[in-house]
Amino acid sequence: MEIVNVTNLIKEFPLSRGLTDILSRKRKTMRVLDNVSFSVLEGETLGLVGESGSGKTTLARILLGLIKPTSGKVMFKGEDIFNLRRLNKLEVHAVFQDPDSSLNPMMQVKDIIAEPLFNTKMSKKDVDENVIEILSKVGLTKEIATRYPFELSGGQKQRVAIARALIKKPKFIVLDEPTSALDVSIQAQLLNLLIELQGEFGLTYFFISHNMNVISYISDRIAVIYAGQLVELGTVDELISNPLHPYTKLLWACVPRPDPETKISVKDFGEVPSLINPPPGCRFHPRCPYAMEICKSISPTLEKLNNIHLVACHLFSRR
Amino acid sequence: MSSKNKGKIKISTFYLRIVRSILKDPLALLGLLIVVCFFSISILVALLGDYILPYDPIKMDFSSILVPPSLNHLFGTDRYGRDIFSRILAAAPTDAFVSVEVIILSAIIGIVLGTLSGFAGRAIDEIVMRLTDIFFSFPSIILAIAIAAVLGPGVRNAAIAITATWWPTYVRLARAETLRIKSLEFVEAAKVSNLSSYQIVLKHIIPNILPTIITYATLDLGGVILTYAGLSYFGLGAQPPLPEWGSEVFAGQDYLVVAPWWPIFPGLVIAIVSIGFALLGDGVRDAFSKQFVSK
Repeated sequence: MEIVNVTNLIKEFPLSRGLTDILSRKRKTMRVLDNVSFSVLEGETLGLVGESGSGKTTLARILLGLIKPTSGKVMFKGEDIFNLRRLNKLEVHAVFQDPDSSLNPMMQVKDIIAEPLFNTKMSKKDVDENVIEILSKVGLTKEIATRYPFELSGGQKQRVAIARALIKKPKFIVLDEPTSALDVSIQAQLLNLLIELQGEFGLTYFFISHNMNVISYISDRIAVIYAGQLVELGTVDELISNPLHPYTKLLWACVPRPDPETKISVKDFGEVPSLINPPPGCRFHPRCPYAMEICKSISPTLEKLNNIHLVACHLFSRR
Repeated sequence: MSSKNKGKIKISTFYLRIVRSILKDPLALLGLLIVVCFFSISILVALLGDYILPYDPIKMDFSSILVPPSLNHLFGTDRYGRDIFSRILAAAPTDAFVSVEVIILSAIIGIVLGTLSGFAGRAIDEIVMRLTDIFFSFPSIILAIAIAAVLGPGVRNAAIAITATWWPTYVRLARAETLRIKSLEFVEAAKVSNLSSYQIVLKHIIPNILPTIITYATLDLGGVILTYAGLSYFGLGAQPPLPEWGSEVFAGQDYLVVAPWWPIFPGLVIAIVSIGFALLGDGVRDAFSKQFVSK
């Protein structure tokens, strides 16, 4: 069953205009998300992977209702989140990337965690009980409750952030690179904790990362985003064993392997194109080793190959 | 919840740590000592009036004109035979009142307008910022003199005049901090947690701009005293025969050669109090910055 459904999402940010632009009435925008459609199924983890600047965080902020899309719809349990924002927000929360800035340095841990309950009519005693309970669920002792964020380690801070996201028992959690600021051993602990909590609370995750290893460890399905467009979407096994889009292949090729004999085979990594003047046609074609004539003029759409695999690439287009 | 640890929960509020950190810093402690002395003397004199002063600060005594410092007259006397030590003590409450009033009013105006400006959108921001620009375009002492001259001389009017030139800095400071903090992830998290803008300002923005404001304010108190001394120097603060530090320096400067104690001691007191506030301000700043460094 679908819990979140995103259709034809477009987000444009206005750019500052010079005097000549204002005089010639030219409007400059940067299209950060271009026609993004996907859905998240209840109880699954949908991973979103892409380079910096590909629109991952913008997508997360839209799903959280923090910014409005230029066009397109985001449905949560069949209701448009920008119509019933307040109501639906009760069941959505987030864990952010930087544990240093996601916790208010002037607040004690217990107040940080209790914040989602702030506007509910819950009594002080119930709130405290909830905080203690959730602290133990995320693997923290209750002594932490009276500490301040600067007294905690990076991993503890991120556990506090997870506790805050969970305390109101939401259904859907957006995790925006929750582990990328931590060292590898702590990352693994945190990922296991997230998986554990998912089972216990019946959560649905939208997990953003630029780390292929992390994303394939935690996700059920993976969506690959490139320059604001979804280029491939499929189950983890399918995307590992049978990556189709040249960009997904490039991402896999870039994963470092603990073997000194293997050299990364990619010669020219290229760069993410400018979103102000994206290349015509397929946005990946300037970097693509298989680029054809058609790729330079026509943008491929995300097409369903089979039940578990969607790809946006002319190489696999049925036409 | 085990009962064993119940009583052991550490009560350590943020500001308690700041105080503790200041007490460990010798220079800040010296500053704190000076500031505490200044305020306690001010309060004592204000409450008990002239009873605790060695001499009447206003009554003239022509039998002891321009007496040099001695055990009888610690700081000597002026040309009307008034004890300068008593006059300096008697002036402390007005200086304390003016400096605290100006700083607190400016900080309140700064926090209200600054957070509004940083949080309420472009139009309000533009209005508030252009308003501060108008005040910034005059040298503050000139503006204070002009306003005090219009309002008429007197302690209260001088305080109003200084406040009128003082608040824009605090608005700018609060706004800059608001803009920095509102882009942090805990504000985003608060929005996701369904807090209103008003609640976010109260719970997240203001507590986080307070350290900056407090630090700046302690460094700034000495400045207010100097400006007030300046206004009094021009005759726009306390009116003779009421004592005031700045006007005492002004009145005594003609006697710098004949009776150097007259201008020098009030000047020294102004300098010591300003330095005290500055030292305390430095300590407060260091204490705050230490608090934000993770272990």
